[in-house]
Formats: sequence, structure tokens, C-alpha cells
Amino acid sequence: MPPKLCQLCNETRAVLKRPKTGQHICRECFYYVFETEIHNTIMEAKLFSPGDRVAIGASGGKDSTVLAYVMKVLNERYNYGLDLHLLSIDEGIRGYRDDSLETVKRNQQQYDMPLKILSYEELYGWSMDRIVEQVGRKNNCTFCGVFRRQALDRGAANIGVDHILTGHNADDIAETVLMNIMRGDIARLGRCTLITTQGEDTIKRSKPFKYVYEKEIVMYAYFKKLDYFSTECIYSPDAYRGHARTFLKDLEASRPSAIIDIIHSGEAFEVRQEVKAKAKAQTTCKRCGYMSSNELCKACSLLEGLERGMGGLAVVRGRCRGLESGRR
Amino acid sequence: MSCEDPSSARMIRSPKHLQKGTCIKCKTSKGKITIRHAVYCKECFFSFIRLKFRRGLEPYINADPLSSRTKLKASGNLTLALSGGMGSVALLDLIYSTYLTDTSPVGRMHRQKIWPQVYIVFVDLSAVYPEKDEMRDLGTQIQSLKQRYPEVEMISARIESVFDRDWWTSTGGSNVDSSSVDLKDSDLPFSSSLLHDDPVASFQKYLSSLPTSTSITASIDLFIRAILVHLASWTRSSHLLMGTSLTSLSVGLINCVSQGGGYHVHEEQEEVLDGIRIIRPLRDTSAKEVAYYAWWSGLDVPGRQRPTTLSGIKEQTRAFIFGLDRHYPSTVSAITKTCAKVEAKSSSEIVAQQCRLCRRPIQDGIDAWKHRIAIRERSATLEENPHFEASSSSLGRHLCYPCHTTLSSPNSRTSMATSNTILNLPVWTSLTPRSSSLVSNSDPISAPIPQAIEEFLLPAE
Repeated sequence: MPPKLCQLCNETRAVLKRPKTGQHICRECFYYVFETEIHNTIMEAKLFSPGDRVAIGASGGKDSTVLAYVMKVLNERYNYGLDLHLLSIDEGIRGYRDDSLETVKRNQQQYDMPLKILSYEELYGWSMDRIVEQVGRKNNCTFCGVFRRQALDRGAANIGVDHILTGHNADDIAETVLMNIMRGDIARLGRCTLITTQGEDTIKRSKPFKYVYEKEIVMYAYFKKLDYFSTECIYSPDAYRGHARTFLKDLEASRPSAIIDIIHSGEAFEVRQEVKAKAKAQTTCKRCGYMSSNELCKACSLLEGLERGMGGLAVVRGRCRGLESGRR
Repeated sequence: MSCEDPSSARMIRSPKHLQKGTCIKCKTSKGKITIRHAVYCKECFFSFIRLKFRRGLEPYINADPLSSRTKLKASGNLTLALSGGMGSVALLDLIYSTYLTDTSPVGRMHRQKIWPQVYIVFVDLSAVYPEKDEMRDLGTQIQSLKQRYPEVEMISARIESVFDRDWWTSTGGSNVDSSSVDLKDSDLPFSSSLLHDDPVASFQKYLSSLPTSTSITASIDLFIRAILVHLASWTRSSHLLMGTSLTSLSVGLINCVSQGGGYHVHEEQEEVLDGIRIIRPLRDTSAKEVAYYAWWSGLDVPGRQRPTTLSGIKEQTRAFIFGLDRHYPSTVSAITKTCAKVEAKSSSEIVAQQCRLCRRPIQDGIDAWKHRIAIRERSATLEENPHFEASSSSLGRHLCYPCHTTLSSPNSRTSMATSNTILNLPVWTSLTPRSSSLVSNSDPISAPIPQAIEEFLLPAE
């Protein structure tokens, strides 16, 4: 049987079946469509202006490694005129984050970008290892997620960048749409498909991989031989978002376009005006000045719990508050 | 990225409540059923279900919803969709016992009939699986079920009627046309060749040409809805009622979102088409409550014609939501509540055009969006013109996002066959538009292949 030709160029032998479209394509065409689609996303959303100082949130994992590589390629190819930096957060997890940070340090050399590493220890006085000692493994991801979000903002302010890029991919976003519908989180549902989010006092955050399938990121890293760290966090080996992720994978197996279809759905609707009007107004945290919808921001209320030796209770209280506000 | 918002990583399983204690309502009788942590006796359960049913229907009966609700009067007849499933059978019984018998409290209150005539419409799906006898038997069972409700009139239609111009015209349809489309091209160009005139053959060819199981289920649902609306219009009905329970509505909403129908989330809950208001009066009643109502009322439920061999998005969503309903019932109701709080993004984006297939509004800029986020051809046109639009002589231009995806999205394992791609379109789909050096040079194949992408890599020669 003659080899299948690439369905895009009709010249070279196809080497892969594209997860997003099902087309059989060659390696060069895969690079072309992968990079061009990201460029299209950036241009359509007008993400950058020449001279912008942009930090790439780098964990050493596949998403952020591919993001750093692709941003460097596109910045040079299309003359975006960006000043790219790598920004890493050290959560203080021995045997996991220390290894992945080694990967980020190698990426810094490979991509020739300045790197800034900020640790939870210096920002909050707590490392994740110590938090887990106090709260156990059950709720530790809550601390990590809340602290990381603030840490990235503080790190970005520290190195004077205007914009943070994160490696959230299409699978993450589709999963978030489903999660927010299922838990009735209207506020997050309204903004989870936005490519860029920015609070009054926070730095602009964007997701250039918004329409990129996770499988294609893995494929791109594999073909380009990119250097990334692929171990799951030791404190949350199953920290996938449970039901929604499993369900999404089933849908994708049934119809590969399901991921992009869900994102399209999320972009097509918006929260009704009358519901928006009832939403809680955003204020600032009395302790640290970070944006918050309560007196204390989530990070500060978690820290307060830790300082009192009641970290686990802070998570439960936070959830109850969330449920109450959901009911309202 | 997966642990960005980990507080929601695991859902807390709801505690199981034993059916014990006295009824929460009358506080005297022994509890018989637990609904969302509350115990009800049989009598209070029935009044609770009737209350929810009336609350889901009566505000929508009068043409002017602001008029006084003391006198309910519809502007036309009533059509009730009867699939044979639990929801539609229970709905028929509730309609009959609440509004059509003089013994009922509302019947006494409203001496005049709310609807001059009540019809039930059954759509026979035996053409979907012609080899299955049970599909054919259902029509007979529905006929015998109807005997219980003498004042309602029954109309049967066959699913393949959507390709039958004679039937469509004889039941009041106009502007019927025959056209065909080629699925090989994702723009879906109209084809000049009409295949055959036999409705069954056209219907079966249509289903067999569709790319995925999801598309087959979506098309069957779309045809059923089209027939129901068409017959409701023919019977001069002002209301078309569906027996969709809260659980089924959640399935429908997640199914709609998963197929890219976010723009139609409102229509999925309630819509007005050809002046007919489509209502789901059981949308606040869970599948469990509907099942208990049917069981305790001694209703004979024939069961729906549900294809068991398909495993598309709707079937997966159904399994997922019914699983949630067992252990996390509040999540199921949260889905409907969340979807009730959203609407299609800014009406200015709406083009005065209806989807040629489902007749729901088409969102602007779909073609450009699809071509921008998933490049399917390496032509100069795409690079130079990111605001791509499909040709106006193609069906793709006149379809909403979910309908276009239904006809064009391929399966992960099988790419669309090169033959067998031209199919006839349903009769209402007329041709005239409706108004409205960082990289290593070594061979990557020699490196271990990540498991996630293994199945997508083609074997070497």
C-alpha cells in the first residue's frame, strides 16, 4: 500500500493523525498549523504591543515549556517585539519542584530568557512541605492553587512585567466550563473562556494555548525534542479535576472536536445582566491589598488558618462561604 | 495546570438519608420517599409533584404572561409529545388529571377548557432500526396507553416523514423542497444530484452518511423536534409540551454545550417556534420523582425507543448525569440553574438568519472562527484572509455551529469515507435563504513515544 500523503501539502508522507481535525499530516505541516493557529489566536485577541515585557509562567512541565519555545519562535518570526521572561514559583516540594526547576533552568539557557524564581517560603513564610505537615494531603492543593495565583502576580510585579502568559490549554478550559456549570459558579463561568483576564490591581494574564489540544502540545514537544519535566506532583498524583476531566476525555474519544465545541459554547453565552447585578462587588484584602470579594483574600484567610494551626478548617470555611454565595 | 483550582477537585458525596421519620409536610403520616434529604408521605408527595408541575406550566399558558392567572386560557390547542418514556407518560397523566377531568381541583376552578383540544403526538422511530421488532411494537403499546385518556386525540408520525414531501404538504407544510448536500467538503456544498424519492431510503442514507454516532443521535433528536413542531402547527396548537424531567434537562443542556450549542442554551430550556411555545413542565422534577409518580399512579410505561448500540456524546452525557443524580442530586439541579442564568452573547451578534436545519439562530462569524482555530488547508487564502467565510452556495453558511459540526466533525478513529457522502436534506431545508537551533536534529521517532499521542502517530512505511 503506498504511504499516505499529507492532507495539507499533498507532497510529503503523513506521519501523524491530528487530534484536533483527524487529518493525516506530515511533520512540517503539523509545525505550521500548530504555530500558525497560536499566532492567529494572538493576533485576533491583540494580545501584545511592541515593547511589552512579558513573563511566561514556567513550571518545567510540557505546557509551559512548549509555550516558552513557541513564544520565542513567534516573537522572532512575526516581530512581536516582546521582551520575554521566565517566571517560576517554587512551592517548596522536595523531590518534585526542585527537579522541575532544574528543567526550567535548562530552558533558560536553551531559550536565552531571563528567569526569576520566587518561593512560597519567601512570599508567605510557608513551604508546601510544611503546609502538608499541618493540613495533610487532603486539602493541600487548595493552598497551592491560591498561593500560586498571587505568587505569579507578585513575581511579575517584582520583575516589572506588564503581562503574564500561562500554559492553560484547550482541555483545561473545556474542563473548567463543565466544572463551572456543574457547580453553579456563574462568576467563573463568565470569565473562564476569556483569553485575557485582568483585575483592577492585577497584572494582565493571557492563555495563548486556549485553542490548543493537550495531545498536540505533547506531540509538538515530542517531535521538537523539547526538554520538559513530566512527573506529577507528589502531593496530588490524582489532582485532576475528578469527574469533569474523566467525562471530557470520554467525550473527546467520541468526537475529537468536543473540546473545541465546549469552548465555543462557553464563548457563545454570557451571564444575564440581572444575575451580574446581584454579584458581590470586588474589593481589596485588608491584610495584603490583593483583590478580594471578602475582607480577607483567600490566600490571607488560608494563611491565618495556618498561623493558628487550623489550616484544614480554613479550607472548609472557605468552601462553606462559596456555597453560601452560590446560593445567593 | 490541572491543580489551578483544586478546591473543587473532588466532590463531597452526599450523605444517604434513610427513609424514616414522619412526612416533612403533613408531619403526621409515615414518610415513604426521600427527595433531596426531605421525607414525604405518599399523599404529600403527589401534591408536591402536582404543585411543581403547575408551577412549571401555568405561568406560560396565557398568551400574555402578565395577565391575571386566575383564568387560564390558551390561545390555541395543546400538543403533547409522547415518546413512551417515563416523563411523557407521567406528563400526560398530570395534564389529564389536572385539567381535563371535572373531579380535579383545577378542573372545577376552570369550568371552561384551557385548550379547546389536546393532541398527543407519537413519532415512530422504527426506521432507525428496522430489524428490531420491539421498535415496531411500541406504536401498539402507545395506542393502548391512549385508551386511558379518552378526551385526547392521538397523531402518529414516522421519523422518515422529514424526507416525505407528500406527507409534509398534507400536514400543512409549505415551501417544501428537495435538495442534497455533499459531506466530503467541510463547507457542505449543495449537490445538484437528487438521490431518490423514497423517504425511508433517504432517511437511512442520511443516517449512514453521518460521520459519528453523536451526529446520528443529534439528527434523530432534531428530526423528532421538527416533526413535533410541524404537527403542533398543523393542529393549531399554542403549546407543545415535552415530558423532560430535571435530570433529562440537565442531560440535554450538557449535551448541547458539549456539541457547541452554547448559543442555544436558552432555546434548550424554552423556546417559541412558529408561534408555538415549547414548554417542559417537569423541568423541576427529577427522574426519580417522575419514576415514583408513575409507579404509585399505576401508569403503564411502554419505554422509549432508545438506540442501545450508539455511544455518542448524548449517551455518554446521559450515563454521566444519571450517575451524578444517584450520588450528587444537587449537582444535577445546579446544572439547570446555572444554565438558566446565562444567555446568548450580545444580541447585536445575531444575524437575521435561522439555521436551515434546526431553525435556531445562527451566531455570526462561525466560519472565520473555525478556520482560525483549526487550519484545515494550507492555502494562501487562509493566511491572507483570516476572516474567512464559506461560499453562500454551500449549506455550511446557513447552519448553526452544532448543526455544522454534526455534519462535518470526524471521528477520532475513522475519517469520513470518500464515497457515500452525498445525501438528501430534510424537506424544510430549502435552497432559498430564509430571512432572518533550539531543536535537536535527531530523529524523534527513536525517542520513546508519550502514551497520550501513541494512537495518533502513523506507522512508518
